Amino acid sequence: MVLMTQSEEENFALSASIDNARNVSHILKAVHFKDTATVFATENGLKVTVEDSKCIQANAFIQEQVFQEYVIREDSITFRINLDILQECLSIFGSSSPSTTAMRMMYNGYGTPLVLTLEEDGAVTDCSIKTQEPDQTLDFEFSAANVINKVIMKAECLKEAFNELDVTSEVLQITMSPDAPYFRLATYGLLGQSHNDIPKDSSMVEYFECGQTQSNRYRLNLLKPSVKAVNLANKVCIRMDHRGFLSLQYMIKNENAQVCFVEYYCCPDEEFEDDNEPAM
Amino acid sequence: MKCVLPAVNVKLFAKAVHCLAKIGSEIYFEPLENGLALKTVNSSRSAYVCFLFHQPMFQTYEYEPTSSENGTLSEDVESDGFRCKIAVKTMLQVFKSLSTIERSVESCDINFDGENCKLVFQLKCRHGITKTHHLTYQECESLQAVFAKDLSPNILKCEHKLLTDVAANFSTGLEEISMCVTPCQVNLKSFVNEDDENAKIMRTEMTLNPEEFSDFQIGVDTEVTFCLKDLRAILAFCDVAGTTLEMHFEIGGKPLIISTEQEHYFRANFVMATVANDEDSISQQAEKSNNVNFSSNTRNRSRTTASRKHGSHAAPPRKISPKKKSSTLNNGHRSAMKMPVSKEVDLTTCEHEISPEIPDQNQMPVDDPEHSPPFKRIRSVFFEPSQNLPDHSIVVLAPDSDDDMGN
Repeated sequence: MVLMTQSEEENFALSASIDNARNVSHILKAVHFKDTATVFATENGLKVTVEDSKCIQANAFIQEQVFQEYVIREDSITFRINLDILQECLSIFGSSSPSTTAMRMMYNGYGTPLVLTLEEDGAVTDCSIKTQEPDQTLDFEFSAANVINKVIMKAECLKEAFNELDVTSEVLQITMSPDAPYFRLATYGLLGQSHNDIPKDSSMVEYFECGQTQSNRYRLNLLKPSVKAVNLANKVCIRMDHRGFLSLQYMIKNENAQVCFVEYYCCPDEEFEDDNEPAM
Repeated sequence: MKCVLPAVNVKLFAKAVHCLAKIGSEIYFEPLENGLALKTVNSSRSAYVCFLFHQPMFQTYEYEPTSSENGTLSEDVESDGFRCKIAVKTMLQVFKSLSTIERSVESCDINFDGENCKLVFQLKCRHGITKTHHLTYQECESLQAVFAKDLSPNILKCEHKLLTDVAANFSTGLEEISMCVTPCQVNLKSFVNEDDENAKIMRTEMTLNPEEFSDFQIGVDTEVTFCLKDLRAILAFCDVAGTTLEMHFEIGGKPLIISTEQEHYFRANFVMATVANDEDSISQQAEKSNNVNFSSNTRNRSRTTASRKHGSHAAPPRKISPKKKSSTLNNGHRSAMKMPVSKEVDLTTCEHEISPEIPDQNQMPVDDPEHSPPFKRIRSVFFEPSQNLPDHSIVVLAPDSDDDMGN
């Protein structure tokens, strides 16, 4: 598996290479619910952000240790890119074959395209993807200090729960509490009301810390993309802060058993009684 | 009404729900003194399924005939308990994934919540996880099909595997299958609508020896045609239940009943309507009987009347080209079984036919303005709600007029 090296001197703003492109595409799958993403590159690695409706944001972190080679010549690089195309290029040789695709990624700074070179079993492909002006991404101002309730559990039980959610319900109500029912996912659909309770002493729950009872409703169609992430994850950390903002952190292992994180932030539906403006 | 299903039986219950879902759009939920009955009927009233889960299936089973929780319902019904029907989609929400259920459910509690008018299903799963579903339901009358299993002259008993293997040989898109029985053999073949001259249709035929069946009683040589899709749904349930099947049938036009049971635990009856044959040699009588059960709006019947007048059709009906009656041919009858019985199927007409005996030919209506394929008719299964709950009841009463009749 020989990587093509550039004959000219490498002075790209960002240059990274990886032996198995699936380690990147696998993580990106977890946040791929919109066609564009914003890529932030720092010396620590890549962060790929996808947003929707200004209410939900997903971030995929691919730390520099995942790459075999990672060189960045600027403090930070930001660009927007079409995620559909990026994923297609990463899996251009087919994603299910036993042999791995090596990838080299190069970016020469503002306005230049992202160049990918992929190689598998001697076949080489060059891709050049146009980059776009980065948009301002939302800052949910979610800080660990404001977290009131936090649960870490194995992903399986949440997988089952998310996949069985009543799709006719507009909202998903998440209740986290130091008292029963501890952790509850509830839907109110046309067919009736369903809830899924996971007690704090369940063997699936690894960490449970809830300061006060919080129950918030979130738009189900916004949280639906996070089902992709939960299906790929091993563990999930669910946090709710004092405003009812939800943070879902998924721990995903790639093929080299390296751990990457994907994070989803979602803001709650606000009741219309007191305020006139919804929390959008 | 309150009951608890242990883990081993939840899968069977879920599979029954899936089977009901494939046939009808609503599941009739009827707690009885000796167990819980789940029934459904398809929209064309040509297939009826009734599962009766006896008390031993449940860890606990509480039944109150005159339930105070029913409120107004008990005033209408003569204190024979709570009954409701639930949309199939709603029930499937609870029992969606069979593999998950098998893997993780430890028990299933079914309760009736009188205050909020909801039926509550609570699945207690491994790792302390609880899934609760509060389902909306509709009150209804009891659904009861009219059929007399014990009077059938033909009985075949076999393992479900036999029929599953047989059904696997037929193409998955095939709607109906014909079974021709004689004391020497059972012949199954794909039923093809002669109107459809499409030469691309693959026809399959299989013959089984009497030895394949554990019980083989043929009183009347006959050929019955029924819906293969329904049969597959039934076999899918029997696969999980692992019990033997019994087929009771008579002639084309009379219902075909498949029943399976595990002593003391459950009993399932699947009643399917069969297509009437126009063979003069075999089912002349059957024709007569069936016509009466239809309103004049059913397209089928008109054809038969016309054909009889001609009297030129020899058996077997399928091979005769419909072109002779080209003026009245109507396409799109791929599946005679699936043709909806019109809403105007009179309750009154049904009421006349309380007994399963063959009525006089004279009762056949003459007016048949509609067109229909020549040699097929749907035999409808009669539906009348019963106030007697046993399965083999023959005498039944008129259905609830408030009830939206299958549509």
